[in-house]
Amino acid sequence: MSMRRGFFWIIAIAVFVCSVGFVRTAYAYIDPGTGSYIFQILIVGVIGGLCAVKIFWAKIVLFVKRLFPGKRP
Amino acid sequence: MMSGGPKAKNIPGSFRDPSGFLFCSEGVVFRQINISYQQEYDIFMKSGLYANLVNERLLVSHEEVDLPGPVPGTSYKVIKPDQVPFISYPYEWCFSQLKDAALLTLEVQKRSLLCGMSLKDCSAYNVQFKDGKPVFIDTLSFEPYREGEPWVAYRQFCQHFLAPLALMSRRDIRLSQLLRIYLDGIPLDLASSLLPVRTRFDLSLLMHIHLHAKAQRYYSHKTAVIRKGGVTRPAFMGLIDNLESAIQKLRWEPSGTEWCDYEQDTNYSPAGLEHKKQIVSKFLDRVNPKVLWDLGANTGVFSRLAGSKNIHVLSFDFDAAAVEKNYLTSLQGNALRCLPLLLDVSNPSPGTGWENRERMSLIERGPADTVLALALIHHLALSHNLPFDRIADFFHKIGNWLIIEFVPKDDSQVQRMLAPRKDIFLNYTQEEFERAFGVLFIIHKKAEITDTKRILYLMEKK
Repeated sequence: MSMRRGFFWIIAIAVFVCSVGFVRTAYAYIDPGTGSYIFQILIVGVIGGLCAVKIFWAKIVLFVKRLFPGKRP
Repeated sequence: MMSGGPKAKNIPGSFRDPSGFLFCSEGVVFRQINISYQQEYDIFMKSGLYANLVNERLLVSHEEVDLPGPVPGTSYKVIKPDQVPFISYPYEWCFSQLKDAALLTLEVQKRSLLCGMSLKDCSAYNVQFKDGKPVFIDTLSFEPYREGEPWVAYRQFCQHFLAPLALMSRRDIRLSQLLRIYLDGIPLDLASSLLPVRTRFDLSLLMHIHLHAKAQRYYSHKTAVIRKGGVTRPAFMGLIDNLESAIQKLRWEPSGTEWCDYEQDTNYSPAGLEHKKQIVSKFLDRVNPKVLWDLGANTGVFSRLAGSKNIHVLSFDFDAAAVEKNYLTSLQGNALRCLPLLLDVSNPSPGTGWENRERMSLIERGPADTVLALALIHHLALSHNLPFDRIADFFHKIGNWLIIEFVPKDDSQVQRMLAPRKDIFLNYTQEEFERAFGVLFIIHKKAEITDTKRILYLMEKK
């Protein structure tokens, strides 16, 4: 069951990445500045979240290491 | 109308920024700061940012000079920046040079934010190499940081640095040459389509290139209401950190190319190589040049020999792996007088951009005091079918002195080159070489290299 669920998530992430990640070539003139500006506002939230997870993750690792002091290299 | 002291000349590549421009007077480069940039410049100088960046050698220093601005009525101040001996361009840099330039730019941005300022543009052309290391040269790129506003130079950073580095690292090192066509950096939709599928599973590249390109396309047809105050200072710093780690992760190992392994693959005996070094060293001592262009420098052995004599050396090669090795070796060996650059002698950098004058051709950036062309002539003559008189003419244009190695037809390297093809090079002889070069140069010295049939010449432009 858990393997199936893992497989489902891999497929789901792959589909998501492929659907949003591929870009059709734009031959016409476009001003890319506006898109970049708005996109940046959107992604800083994602990056902020990732930073929080990173900090949180470091704290978990530190907590576990404190629980098992003998296992430190 | 130009004033700016006697013989002030506009620099063709400096016109886009309304904050000021560069001009040249009697061989010295100056920068006019326009009245419109007065407030920003004063904040930049008083905030401590200028001193911080200059102390850490991240920015070129300057002095304010008492010189009238070339355009009357617009000038706030004129500054004289510490002079950069040779202007090079991103399409002439190897992978690590572009990467170091990107990391420098982000470091400048981080320090700017700590002083309440931010970079308003992020062009790779704002970075030059001085004493072997990258340095930021545009004093007018700074503006006060406005809380909540996104980074206006984000798109430019991705196009000028992240996209080319990702393409070089993840697709093909030769794609750096796209920068020669796209002067404002590689369009992100093009980078996205060229990058391999696996880069979509790299979160940083997915976000800053693939999704970024998609957003540019999506919003190009939309009217958007932009909400102010959306990017807090920690979020802004997070973006810079994320870009920094994305750049740090990109790597490229130079190996396996024809030229990178060339030094291990030559027909020089240790005595022959040592003798060649002695002759070149003697010729250099005779000329005592300030600036040397080493063409076909490979990994820069002879460039560093010249650099050790306090000569400023531009060490050109067309092989990305050789230039990469040269750069890393020069940095490790502290050979800071030597700047390795990527250049195909048979197709050197042209004048590009507006009126073909925005970025200078190689010839415009010369002449060098001395040109060093070791083990190059046979490649130009036999692989590129260039006649001796045309080669002599080119060297005559780019240098005042010439140290050149003639590789005769019975040399094993030439034999190897001619083996798979018909020998149509009937004029490829030492006599014809001396005749063609003798038209434009005075041949001062000639020395045979031990254990080879090769000959080194010292020539002076007529």
